[in-house]
Amino acid sequence: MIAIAVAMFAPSGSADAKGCHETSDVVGVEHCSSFGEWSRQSDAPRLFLELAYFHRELRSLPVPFGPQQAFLTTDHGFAMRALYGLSPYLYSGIDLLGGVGAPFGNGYTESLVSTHAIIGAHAAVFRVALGAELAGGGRIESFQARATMSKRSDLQTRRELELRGTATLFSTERISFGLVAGHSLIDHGDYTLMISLGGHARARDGM
Amino acid sequence: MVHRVTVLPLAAGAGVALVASAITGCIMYPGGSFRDAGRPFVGTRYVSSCLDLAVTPTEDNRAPGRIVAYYFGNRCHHDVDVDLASVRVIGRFDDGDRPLTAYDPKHELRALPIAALWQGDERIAYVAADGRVPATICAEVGHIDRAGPNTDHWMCFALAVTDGAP
Repeated sequence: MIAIAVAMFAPSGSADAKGCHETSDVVGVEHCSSFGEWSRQSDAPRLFLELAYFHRELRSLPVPFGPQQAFLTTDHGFAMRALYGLSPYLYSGIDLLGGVGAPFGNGYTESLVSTHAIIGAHAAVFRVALGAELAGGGRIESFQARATMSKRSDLQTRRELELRGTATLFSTERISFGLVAGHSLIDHGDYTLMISLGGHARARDGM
Repeated sequence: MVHRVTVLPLAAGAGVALVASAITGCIMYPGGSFRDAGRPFVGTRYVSSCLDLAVTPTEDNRAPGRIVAYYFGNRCHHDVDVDLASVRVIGRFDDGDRPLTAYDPKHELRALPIAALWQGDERIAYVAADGRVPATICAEVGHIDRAGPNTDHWMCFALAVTDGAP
């Protein structure tokens, strides 16, 4: 998935990697690229995709075959963020996270899917952009017990609202590496860390 | 539990920030280097107020006329307008010199800003009104950098590259 995202926004010199067969890189003849892709005022949309690896620590409710009080679950997995710049400094989008965890010892597994709507703001200095965003949505956690029990699975849903800080380093006009750190505004102690690889349709997202 | 939750993310973030700073120092355009991610700018060099510019003829059998490649790096700590549409090009034919026009069917050529310590490149074809291809072309590149000095600077390209007025 990372390779696909990078290929989508690869520098114009590798236009074939985007799935478009480029015939030339001369202005007026090229058809997969356009003039001025090095500029943040090019005609490209402010669309950016990020593929990330995340670490989350979440508070889960009691399960029939586990602890009888709320407990912390640590999850790892992959996320995709699809974002669009509303202006040079404001953006919105969605994310989708999927991962697994080992909540309480051997014999139990947990899987997690969560999604959020995102609204954020960012600004760049040279090749580094810093920002903040609000992510609201929900998650589904599925707990499975391997041992024979009267109830071997449990499903939990929970609303999520996170305040996140972001840091992005543009290695080229349209490829970036990023870090996202979020803290729940609903559940004390819940947090998310993500490290991402991003592809950007417009240089530096037009910032 | 609270201590672990707060210290680990902060330590990870600080580590990433340090690595990012080191990488940023390597990938930002170093003024005067005439290089893009380790690859040198190809062509005859010209230094203006903020832009390090390299210009060279190139070939592409799918494009008409004579093609000029421009490589530029902004060594200033602020945005600079790059105006490739300002380049005047003259073709030298057996029967005299005539102006060439940029091949721009989509009307894309215009002045655009380039970010501080950033680099870019473009290839532009120039054609004569009668469709003939000159053996030598001369390009005036002194006005590409809107930051100045905005004085004429001609580069001529044939089998041997010369630097001077046509």
